Order: sequence, then C-alpha cells, then structure tokens
Amino acid sequence: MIVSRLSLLNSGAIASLLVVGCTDATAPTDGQSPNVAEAAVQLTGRVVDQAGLLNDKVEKILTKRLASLEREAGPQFVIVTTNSLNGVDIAEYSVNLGRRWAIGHSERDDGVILLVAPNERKVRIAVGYGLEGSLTDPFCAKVIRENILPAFENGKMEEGIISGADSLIAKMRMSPTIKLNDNESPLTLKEKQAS
Amino acid sequence: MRSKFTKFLAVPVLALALSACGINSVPTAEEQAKAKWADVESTYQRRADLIPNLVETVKGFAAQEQDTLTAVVEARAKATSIQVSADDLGDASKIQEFAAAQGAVSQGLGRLLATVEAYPDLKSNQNFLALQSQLEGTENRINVARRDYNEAVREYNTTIRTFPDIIGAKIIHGAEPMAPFAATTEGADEAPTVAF
Repeated sequence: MIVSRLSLLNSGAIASLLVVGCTDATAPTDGQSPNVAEAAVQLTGRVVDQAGLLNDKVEKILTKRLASLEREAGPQFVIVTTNSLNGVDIAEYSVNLGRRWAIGHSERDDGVILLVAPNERKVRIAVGYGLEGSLTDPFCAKVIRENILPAFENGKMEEGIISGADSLIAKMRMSPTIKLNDNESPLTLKEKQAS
Repeated sequence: MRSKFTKFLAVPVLALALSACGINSVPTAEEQAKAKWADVESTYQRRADLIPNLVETVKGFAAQEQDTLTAVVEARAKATSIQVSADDLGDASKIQEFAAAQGAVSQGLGRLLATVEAYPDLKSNQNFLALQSQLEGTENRINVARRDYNEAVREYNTTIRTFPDIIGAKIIHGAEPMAPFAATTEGADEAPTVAF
C-alpha cells in the first residue's frame, strides 16, 4: 500500500515530501503545470526505470531490498529514473510524484523517492515528513555527495543508484517506523519467507 | 417495495441537502487553509532557526563578509517580528508584508551563499555542508507549504462563492475570502541556488 507524505491535499493522506539535494547548480527552471509534467512516469513497481539506467538483474535485486525494507522496517522507498523533467524543478517534480503516487503509509508518512534525471544531470531524494528524523537533509545531501555523485561522474549510474539506495535503506532500518509483533522479528519473518 | 426504498433514502438525502449548503464544508475548508498557513509559518520559522548557526559558521571563515552577514541577521530579525494570525488571512496586505519580509531574508541568504564560493575551506567544511543542505531542504519545505496553502485558499474561496455552499457561507458563517501567498519580488520566493 502506497500512501505517503506525498499525497494529495484532500485525500486525508498526507503529504509532503521534502526534498533534499540536487546535483549541479543550474538555476531553477520555470515549471509548466507540474501535474502534467510528471504524469509521463507511471508507478510500475518499487523501481521505475523509465530512463533505462538499470539492468534487469539490478532492478530485481533493488526491488527485493525495497520490499524487505518496507516489510521489516516500515518505510516505502521507490527508486525512479526519468528521461525528462519537462522543465520542472527536480524538487517540485519529485514531491509531485510522491504525492501523486501516495508513496508511504498515509499516517506514518514514511515514503521516500530517489529520483534520477540523467539527461538533466540531477538527483533528488524526496522524504516524507515521517522520515525527517532519520533521513535528515544533511544525511541525504551526504548520500548524494559521497555515494551517488562520485559514481555518476564516472558514468557508473547503476553503481551510484545502488550505493545511494543502500545507504538510505541502512539508515531507515536503524529507525523503523513500524513495530514488529513479538513473534514477528526480522529473523522469523525471514524464516517465514524461506519456508 | 418502492415506498420503502424511498423512506430509506430520505435520511441520507436530507443529510446531504443540509451538508450541501455549507454548514460543514465552509468551516472545514477554512480550518484546512488555516492549518496550511500554520505550516507556512513554521517552515519559515525553521529557516530562521538555521540562520544564527549559519552566520556563525560563515563568520569563522569569511569574517570580511561582515556586511552580507549583517544584512541577513537584520532581515531575519525583521521577518521574525512579523506574524500573521489565522484570523488575519483575509487581509492581503498583512500577508504581503509577511511575504516581503521573508523575501528579504531569501535575498540576503542568496547573496551570502554566493559569497561562499570564494572560500574553498568553508565550502568543504562539514558543518557548513550540513547547514547548507538544511537550508536548501527548508527552502523546499517553504515552497511546498506555500503551494499547499494557496491551494487550500483557492478551495476555500471557491467553496464560499459557489452555490449551494454560498448560502451557509453568507448566512451562517459570514465567511470572507482569504488571500493567497504571492511572492512580492521577482525571484524572492526561489530557493537560493545551492551548488553541490
């Protein structure tokens, strides 16, 4: 279930994602209607690779990691690559995506989007209000600066995305947004899956 | 059979008719807009809270930028002194005054961050990097909060002007339109551009 801090104003689900960090210091561009701009990207799964940066195997591995993150710690994390921001500022674009897709749980507001726009050379991490405590602005900026950008600058897009996603996942696992039932520790869940 | 069905419908229909004349929808929309305004103010406050630390950090590396630093401190002081209470949201001039004061802070910060370019040690200072990211994140929160507030105002204003809610709005609530948040200076609402 995907409802996140990003949801529409009136839907009861909350929303607002915040966004942290962007590469390159180009001036913000004027957006057209944001709802139109990001409508080209469809929520097809936990990894939405519209720009085709990830091979199938990597996409599968990431999807698995994102699913177990949600199951075991709560936060819903979606990785998105897009061919074009259509002239919209990446911060606005990522928040609009998160809201439109309602990423994260509606009450916990624990959605995150990692958005990569290779053609504009921009990266953004949009964080639901419920995760502001763990995915702080400085932390997200650091992930972009130290995990993602160095790989991107060498043309290794996959590597940067995996490294960035792993850092974010590890941080979110340190402060889960859900409580597991007593008999549902991460270990027992794993056993359940295995059986 | 048919009459029973009609009776069954009567209650919900009556409730619908009552609720349709603005008894509930007007205050709901009003509270929504007020809550969004509170978000706007708190995000600006959040930015104001970052400034003293930022100024201290920059001072440590770039004391000669005293004028720019002072301008930010003064703009912040002025901006934090201007508050718009939820009951004054119909007063466009008050919101404009608030917007202008906050716009001055944005411009001061923009200038300050531009000067930082000349100080490589400051640019790579961990404390500064952390503050810079918080500042940028907060500018985004401000943009989101403003957009949400304007949307809520638009909905409220539409509600009180549209039949049948206008009946309740006029007769029962005496509802007045609210003013959206408009940036006063060109570009004043834009986040200072931050280079990563």
